[in-house]
Amino acid sequence: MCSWDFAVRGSAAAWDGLWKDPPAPGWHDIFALTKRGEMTLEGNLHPLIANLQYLKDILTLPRKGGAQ
Amino acid sequence: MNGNVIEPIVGRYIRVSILGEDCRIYFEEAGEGIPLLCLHTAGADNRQFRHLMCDEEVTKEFRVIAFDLPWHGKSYPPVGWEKSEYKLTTERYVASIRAFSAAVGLDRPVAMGCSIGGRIILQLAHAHGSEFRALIGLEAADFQQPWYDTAWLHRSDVHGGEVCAALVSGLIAPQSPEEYRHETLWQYMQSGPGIFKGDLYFYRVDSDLRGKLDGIDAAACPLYLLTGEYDFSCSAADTLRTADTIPGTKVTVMKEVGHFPMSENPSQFRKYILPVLDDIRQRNSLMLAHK
Repeated sequence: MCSWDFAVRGSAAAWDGLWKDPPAPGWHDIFALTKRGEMTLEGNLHPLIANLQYLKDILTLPRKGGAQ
Repeated sequence: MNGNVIEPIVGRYIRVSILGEDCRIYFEEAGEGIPLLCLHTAGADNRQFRHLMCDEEVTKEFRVIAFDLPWHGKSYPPVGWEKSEYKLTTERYVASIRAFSAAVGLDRPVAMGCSIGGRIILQLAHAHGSEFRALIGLEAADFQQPWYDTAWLHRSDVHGGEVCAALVSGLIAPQSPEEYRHETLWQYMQSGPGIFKGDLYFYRVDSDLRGKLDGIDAAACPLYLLTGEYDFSCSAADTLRTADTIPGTKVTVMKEVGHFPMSENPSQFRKYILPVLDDIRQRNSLMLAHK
């Protein structure tokens, strides 16, 4: 059973790239990754977009070992 | 910071007629010498050039001058703006730059623009090159692939300022100092409702310059294109592809910089822009000596 509103899906390479410190150019942001076809944003995007910076910050926390 | 510091930047207003409309334009300037007219990015304002205006290496040779486009920063929209949706067009953008330059009395300035300002630099090179001493496009290309739906930028159930800033935050290089990253984002948070979206009408719909940049004489009016490696909106590949179509263009890919070089990482940007400005200054001196 799984219910969801939106999903951020990426390849293993996408998450690895996003979480490198520093990340390589073109692998440093979820929209950079969707543009290069390594990530997709799916479902009802309103809650994602309306809280975008917060969610982007959470998704990149592993870059600093979650320390920030 | 030690003590009180008054910066050398001076801000004033000027009344300019643009496409038959009276516009009250805010501009800032610092320095003396070769006029360097700076064009801000979409949905932002002339504060992006504050570091350049406080850099004595620049201002000892250049009169750095940056204006807020109408609808931006401290420039009001023209009277009656509330009756229609704001959409920047190539015609309006070129008219605004030329009208402001003439009103201030700039003599063949160097123009430098970033993002939409970089795109319009290419159009200026194509159609009005003889009016400029040199042209500098930052994050400039003849076209780039869209990477999000601009409908999100102006709707009642999403905060416009926050979403504009959140979208462009990824265009800032991870190495850029936190202070300047957030200062750059603040500019986007303060933009008027729908203005970033209206600027992107120019960027995405009205200014596809692919195949339309013939006749640029980079020998008569040098053209420099500088793009940050972390800019995935206008990528280095986009800039290099554009430069390939314009003989004589000088291209630089800037390390550890994104889409807002002058604003997001001033010390990194100056490593790249000072040699360009020095090139322009030397060329200017040679031309004066030959007169």
